[in-house]
Amino acid sequence: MEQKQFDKLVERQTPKPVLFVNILKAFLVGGTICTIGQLITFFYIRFFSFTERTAANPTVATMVFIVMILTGTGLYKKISQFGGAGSAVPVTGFGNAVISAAIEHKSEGYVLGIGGNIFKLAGSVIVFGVLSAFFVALIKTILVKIGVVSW
Amino acid sequence: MKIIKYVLLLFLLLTACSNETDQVMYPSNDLPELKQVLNSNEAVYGFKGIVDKDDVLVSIDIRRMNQFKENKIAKKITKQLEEKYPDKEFLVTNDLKLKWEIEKIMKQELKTEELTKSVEKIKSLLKEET
Repeated sequence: MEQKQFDKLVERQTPKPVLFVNILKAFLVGGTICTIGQLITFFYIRFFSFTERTAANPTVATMVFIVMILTGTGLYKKISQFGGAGSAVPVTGFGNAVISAAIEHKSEGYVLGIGGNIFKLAGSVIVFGVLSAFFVALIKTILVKIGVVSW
Repeated sequence: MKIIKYVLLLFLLLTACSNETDQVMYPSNDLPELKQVLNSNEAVYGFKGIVDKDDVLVSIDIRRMNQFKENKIAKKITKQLEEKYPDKEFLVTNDLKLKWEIEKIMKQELKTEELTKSVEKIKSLLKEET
């Protein structure tokens, strides 16, 4: 059997992904997650002293915390199997990546297992965020000191 | 089961926000030109405000498509108002927090000292950056 023939055979045998249904599922799951996040934002604005601008930070923290608990109980696995990218792209995917790596390597011990692997997937996100925030703040500080812009 | 799905989808698609808009100032509207300035701006369809001595806090409702440039609109209105009333200090924003705080103050009908206290608190909140 030649390579081309084999490729044709494989193509015939593999099931076609139902693109539209997958997109719809991702839309619904991602939309639901974002709606919950918006409700939490409103909750923080209403009952605590946060404005629209400052309420984003506690909202993200709360969402990540909720998803960490869901991942620990195994519920988020079901959600992400159904929703695909809709559950991975929002900030909830970050919490899931941290905790699932920790659970995976639990058997290797607390320090070398969990400690060494907990940020295996999400570590690059944290490093990039901290580093870019540092440099942006540095540039802004210099610009303010020179007098180009004001705080 | 299928019917339930369709009904849920209908609810998702057909419901919309419908907040009545109003144009009110608290305790009283002694700035007649404020209404004029705000009504002359097409992007603004409602406002709520508080007047406390020299401080004027105005919460504006901006039309959906204009919300991309909400900061610009708020800044422009602040400038226009400061030109009309140079002795007052204006704070114009479309932040939800201000709107809800103003509604709370109106409901409790705060007077003089308490009003000044809560106005100062709101001002420091809106200046917060982090």
